[in-house]
Amino acid sequence: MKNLNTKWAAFILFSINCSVLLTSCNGFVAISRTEGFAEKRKNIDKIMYIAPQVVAYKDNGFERINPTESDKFQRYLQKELKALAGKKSNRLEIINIDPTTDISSDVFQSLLPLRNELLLNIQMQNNPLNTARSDFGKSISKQVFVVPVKISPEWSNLSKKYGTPYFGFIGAFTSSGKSVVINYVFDVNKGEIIYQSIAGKSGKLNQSTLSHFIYDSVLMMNKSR
Amino acid sequence: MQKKSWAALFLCGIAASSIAQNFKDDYKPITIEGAVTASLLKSPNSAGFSKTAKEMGFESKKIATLEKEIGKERNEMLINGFVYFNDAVSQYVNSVLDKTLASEPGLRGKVKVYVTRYSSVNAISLPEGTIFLNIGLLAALENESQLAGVLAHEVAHIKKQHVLNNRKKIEKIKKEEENVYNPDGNVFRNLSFSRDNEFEADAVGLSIMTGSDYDASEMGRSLELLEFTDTNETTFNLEKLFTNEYFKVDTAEISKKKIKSWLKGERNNDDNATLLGLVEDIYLTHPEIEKRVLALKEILKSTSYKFAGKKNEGEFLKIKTTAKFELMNNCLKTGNYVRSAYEAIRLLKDYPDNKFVNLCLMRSLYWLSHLREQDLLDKAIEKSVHIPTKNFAMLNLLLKKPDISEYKKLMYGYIKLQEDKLKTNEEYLLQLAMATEAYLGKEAAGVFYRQFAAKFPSSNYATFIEEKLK
Repeated sequence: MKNLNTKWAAFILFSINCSVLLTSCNGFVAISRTEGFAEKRKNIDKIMYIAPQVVAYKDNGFERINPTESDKFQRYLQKELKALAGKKSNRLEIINIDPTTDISSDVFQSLLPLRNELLLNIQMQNNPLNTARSDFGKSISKQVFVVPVKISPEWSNLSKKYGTPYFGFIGAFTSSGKSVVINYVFDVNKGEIIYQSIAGKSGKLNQSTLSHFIYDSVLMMNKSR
Repeated sequence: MQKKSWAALFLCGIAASSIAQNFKDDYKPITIEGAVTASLLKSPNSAGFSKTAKEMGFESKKIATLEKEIGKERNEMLINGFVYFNDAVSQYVNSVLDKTLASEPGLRGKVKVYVTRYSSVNAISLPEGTIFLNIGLLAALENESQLAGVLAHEVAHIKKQHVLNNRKKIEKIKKEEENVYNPDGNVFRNLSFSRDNEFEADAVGLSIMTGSDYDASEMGRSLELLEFTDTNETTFNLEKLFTNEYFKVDTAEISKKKIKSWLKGERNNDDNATLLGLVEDIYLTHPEIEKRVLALKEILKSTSYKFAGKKNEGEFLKIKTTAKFELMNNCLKTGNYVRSAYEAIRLLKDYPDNKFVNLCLMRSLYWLSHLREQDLLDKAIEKSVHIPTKNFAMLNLLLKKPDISEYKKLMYGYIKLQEDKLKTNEEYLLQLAMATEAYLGKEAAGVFYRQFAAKFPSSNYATFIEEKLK
């Protein structure tokens, strides 16, 4: 667990250069998986995704939220994930948070703090989500996932409660300048990330791109692949 | 109705039990009991906000957008767990607001105060009546009148509709001269108040205070505390705390000269709030405290104000202590490990045998050593909110070790030293095993993981331990 980065046997990093004629945009997908992921994947029966979220920003930065657009994407993400949860051989359980309905104590006490800890760890990484402000696209290098995420052991008790040690966060951040879609799945029993992917593109996200990124990313977790 | 009464009684019971902790031996962090209901997330004064905005000349579409933006930001805070609900601290703060606004019952119904888990010493208000008071501020205040003063100041911002006034001004400037004013930033930043707004809120707040049973003269001191000066605090004895058979504190590392230089560096950074705390910079909106304190004194002097009430600080002190424990725990949970270690050391002075505080310090050191190993220490420190005090400087200087091995010695040494005192404690044994794994490797750690498995077979950590022993 100490040097998790060295265990990431498969490290795929490539750039997608979309046709200039079509969109004049460029993007990337970075994926990192724990050692022996292909085998481990076969044992993943269920993944709990905690409060998937899309945050759309108003301007060319990640600061001022556009609530209408965020809500629109959020609904779309939920719809896509619901459809995928039914199609794939892994059981995806989505814990959604909706301010118009009650939030159970369980979710508030256990799942949200776990999600916050994971997001905090993601924030500490040298991934493009964090360097996006000034050097988005240019900063893509082999350093994407250099920092291993580590989760406190206190969350291991959730595996009994929810019948799986695999929990995840999937979501997107989009502004007029750049967009990032992330998918993290982690094993609370071991306190480590087993799969993480970051896909990005310059410019605003649209539903079709979000759908592709989400589909590809979730497909990677498919145990029957 | 009957159900609601039972629920209220139940929650009161929880609140009472939270205050009843004695702090000497242990601490149980505040947990949110029961569901977070949708009704809790409603704006306290949506209708009033729309009406005022309309009277001020805002178009209906603009009002709806603004309300939606504010609502989104508010609910993000609430549903993501950054705010306390239905707990003793929140109930107490709301009861202080009740008393502060006793002479203005109409206003009380339009304002709702939440305590946030944020560490910075500040509070903010939203124009639709929501006040967010940081636990870091509650832990820093010295008495109930100061808390009332802070709340009165925030209520004044709402009463005078400073946010809408500022919005109006921004739009006017934007129309007159494009690109002169750039209202970028998140909603909260856009809601930050101007210097004049702050002076006005102080004056209106003071008037609310003089009409209450609280000591209005304490309001100035509450402003001073926004700058977080622990000048009255005794100097940390880090040498005594961390020197043991495994590690020796090098006093040259924390010399007066180095502390002075560190503090000077911090002050130079004061102008750039984002450098001080990326996460919480939205709260750093209070310039010119000294002038504001003087202005308050002058106003009070002119009214010949004299506090004639009685001060009963017993409940406040319990809440303040709870806030200190919560602050430490929240810093740990949000990865602000230098601050959680700092708060733990402060608490250890009063509660040296408190297991929770000891464990918090151990965990902070453990995670700091993990970050140090990943060359992330500077990044972590940068992301945490710095407090420009001598003791905080000392701790930062001590923890900024260039050598990872030294760092691990410090962490392991402190944890190992507590073995005699805490070896029967489940959390401690887990922490000792993890620290040993980090410093001495898996084989040595196995001894403690096996001990743990034998002693606590049905622990919440059982699956984690099983994985370790595989």
